[in-house]
Amino acid sequence: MGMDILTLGVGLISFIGFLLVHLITFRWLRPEQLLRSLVMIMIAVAGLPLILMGALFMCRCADASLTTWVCSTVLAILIEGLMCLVYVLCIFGPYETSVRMRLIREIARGSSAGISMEELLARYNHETIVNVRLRRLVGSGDIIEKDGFYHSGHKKNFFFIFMAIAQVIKKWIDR
Amino acid sequence: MLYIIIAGLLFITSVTTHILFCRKATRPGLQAKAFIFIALIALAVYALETTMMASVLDGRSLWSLPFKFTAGFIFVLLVPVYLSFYVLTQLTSPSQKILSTVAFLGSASYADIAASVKEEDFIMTRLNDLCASGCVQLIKGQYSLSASGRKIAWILRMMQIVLGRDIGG
Repeated sequence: MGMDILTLGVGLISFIGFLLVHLITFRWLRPEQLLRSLVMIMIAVAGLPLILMGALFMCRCADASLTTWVCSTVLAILIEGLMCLVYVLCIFGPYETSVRMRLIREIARGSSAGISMEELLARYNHETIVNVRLRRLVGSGDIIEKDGFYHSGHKKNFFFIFMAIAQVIKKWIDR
Repeated sequence: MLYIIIAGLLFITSVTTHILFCRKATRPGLQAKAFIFIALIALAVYALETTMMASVLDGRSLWSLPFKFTAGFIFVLLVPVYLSFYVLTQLTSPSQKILSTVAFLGSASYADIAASVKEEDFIMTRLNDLCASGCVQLIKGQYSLSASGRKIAWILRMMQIVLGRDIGG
């Protein structure tokens, strides 16, 4: 029970650490710096459970075997990683990139009588969608711009990995 | 470790059940609520199993390391992760569209990318989804937010204050 709660606590505290770093530093980031910074912070903060568990082990906070401590550290890293992933996929990602969320914001900024399609498209259109994403993808190195043409950067980027997993699920569903 | 294995097996069972449910489902669209329901049942099974078998499972060997709550929490965290991938099976994001266009053409101009994004018509499809879900209403050619849409807009405004970032999208 003690090690169980300790593992959860360390995972949670590490995630709070990630959240603090993220909330403080991401205010000043431009869209092109987002993806790379996010990956860098997630990798850097993954070491936090290791440090915390190491410190707790030194303090002999719980009476447990070395195997339990090692497993506990691995699980704390897993919990912290999963919490970061859930935050990025379900909270930060949709806020930053969702077309639906942006449409809601634009409609909310309109008058109480509503907003026409023309007004909406004047504020947010396909050109905006392309420009913001190209900046982001070029900044992360997923796309390389050369002489006005765009080429694939990383062959195995997060988008392709995510799409590959989604394709497997889709294949199973459609079978 | 047994707790982790039980939680892992229950998660795999939940995903398999959901996939089978999606195959049989007659109603079009996302079946996300069905997965949440299946996952809740699986979590209840996990809670019941770990409570009833605590005397057998708890111990000091590698197999019986006491990670009851940790395993349950990992299961809970895997639910939104799976749902994010599941949503991707039904929707294409603009970034994915751009990346696949560039990968398909090898070398793409801005016009090529803009045309591919326009072809997908992300704005109209998303706007229709919002109208269908009741967040947005179209009255006499004017789009306005419903009560639920206004709640989402308020949450997004709060998020903007907390995150300190631009409007997004």
